[in-house]
Amino acid sequence: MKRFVARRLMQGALTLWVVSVVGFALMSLVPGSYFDEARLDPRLSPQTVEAMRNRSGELRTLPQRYGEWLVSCFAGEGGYSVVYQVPVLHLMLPRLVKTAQLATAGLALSWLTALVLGAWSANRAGKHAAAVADWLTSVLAAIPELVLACGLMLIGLYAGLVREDNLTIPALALGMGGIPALLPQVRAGLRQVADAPYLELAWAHGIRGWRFTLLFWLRAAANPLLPLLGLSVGTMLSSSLVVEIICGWPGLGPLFLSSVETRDSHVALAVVLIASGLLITANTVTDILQAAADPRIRESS
Amino acid sequence: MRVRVGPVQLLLCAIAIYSVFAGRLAPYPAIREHREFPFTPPMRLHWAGFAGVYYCGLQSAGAWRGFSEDCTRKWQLRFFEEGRLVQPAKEGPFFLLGSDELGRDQLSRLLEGGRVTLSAGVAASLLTILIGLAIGIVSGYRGGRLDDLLMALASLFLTCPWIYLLLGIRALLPLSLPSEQSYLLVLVVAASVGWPRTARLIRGVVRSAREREYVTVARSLGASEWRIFRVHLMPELRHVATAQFAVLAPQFVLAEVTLSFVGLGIGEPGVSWGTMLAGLRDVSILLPYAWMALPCIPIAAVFFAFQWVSRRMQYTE
Repeated sequence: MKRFVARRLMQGALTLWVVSVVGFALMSLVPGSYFDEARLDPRLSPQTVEAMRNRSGELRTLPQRYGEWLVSCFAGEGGYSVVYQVPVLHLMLPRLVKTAQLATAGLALSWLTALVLGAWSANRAGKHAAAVADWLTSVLAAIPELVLACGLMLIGLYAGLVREDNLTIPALALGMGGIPALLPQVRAGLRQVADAPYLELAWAHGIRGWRFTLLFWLRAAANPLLPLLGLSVGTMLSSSLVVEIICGWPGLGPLFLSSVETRDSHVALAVVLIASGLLITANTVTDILQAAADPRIRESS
Repeated sequence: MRVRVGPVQLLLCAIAIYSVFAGRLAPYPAIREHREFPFTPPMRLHWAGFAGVYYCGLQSAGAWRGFSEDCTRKWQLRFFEEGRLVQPAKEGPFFLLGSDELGRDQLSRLLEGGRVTLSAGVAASLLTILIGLAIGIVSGYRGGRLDDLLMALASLFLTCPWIYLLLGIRALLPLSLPSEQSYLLVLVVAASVGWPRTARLIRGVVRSAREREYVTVARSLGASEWRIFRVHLMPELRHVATAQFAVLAPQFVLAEVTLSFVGLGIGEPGVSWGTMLAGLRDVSILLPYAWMALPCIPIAAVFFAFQWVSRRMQYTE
């Protein structure tokens, strides 16, 4: 097990490193930079722009620049934002916290709904629940997050819920957007194990209600459900970008967008790396949890 | 080669027909501005029996106060004239679904924009499937080093959440472009985000098909590689590609909408559902001008249609 964990962690780190190399190279090879814009700014003299350019290291070779960037990453700076003139991490940390808050709320909301509705509708008694779940899935699947967020914002504006730092609307948009991908899978996963002999046995022992669902059923279904976790982290991160922009949530999304627009390459690279890193982490954790739950997976890989 | 008319083909036909006639259905050209009538609310139609359909003039309650209808002035809507379905009077503008900040007719923009958005979604899916087929088939057939390399590349693309990848690849290309070029750019960006999943899928199909017993039998009977590909692999690949199309097309519609929404897709004066929604980045305009969110409705409808198609395809399998 330890070797499995170590190998998965190594793989994750290696992938992230490759992403950083490719991303850095591509971002540097792109024609045009922030300084092309800066030269047009009447408030900055040509000498200032040249000095800024020198300091940013744009004149050095690519491997040199990558080396410097890597060093600054290990020094806890993550590169230097030419637009804001600060280390990237200063810019990033508060934003990362915001995105993490939002994504966590969205994940919790969508998973809770999916689990509750899924367990209810996978139950033999839940015939109406199945209809509700089907209906909810097909309606929500037809509404992309962008539209969902717009609609919820409209409702929120009328209801007076839209205030700064109010998590309600963005979390709702994100969570509702995550449901259609989860709910059918959760239901199928729960169905799949519903007839397992150990569940019959628990039932025969007279274990009922939430104890049965939580301690036996969900646990038995952990194996088909765990891979969904990694998947849903990825979709959460993707859809949170749009939701953040619409709802004015000061997370990584708006920062990424503005860094793309101003060609602030270190910031853009850092955001891409963080998003990839989170996704890789989620997948790795999922794999490890799955291996912990099922020895067959450990042995086969 | 016989083309089976399934739900996907039907939907494609519907989109094609719509794209051809969208311009004729629109009362105005999408870029026609009525600068004196910004943010006009949706107008009502007045029925006058057999005499035809009328709409009222607009009056302003003063600068920045918005518009209301003034039915002392009425104009008749004419139908089927000058190659358009509806022809508003020259004297007063007609905004059935309201107008935007430059006084452009929302209805016309919706119709024209749908053409751009839908065709971009369809074209990007076709491009992605072509790339996916090429890479998947090469990878599946050749195997070995090349296969490892291509699949490693694909999984590298998949380590990044798709929207970050979309904007990341977009960042590598020139930021502002004329609208025709920006249309191509959306296709290229979407395809470069979408190919890995398709390529993986196709590779898997090719690999598993080559291991099938009937393929081995065919080979041992002396069938050439080309014949095996044509007779045994093609039908399977065609099926997978069609299913992929139904999955990819709505995603790429969303990709276009997202890119244009954040201002990195189709550029002005080009119009698409995404550019129409771009005004909503300042979401507070929704409160006074709720009709600016109208493109949301056709976007949801397109999603719904493709979802229906996917489901139908699963049933017919």
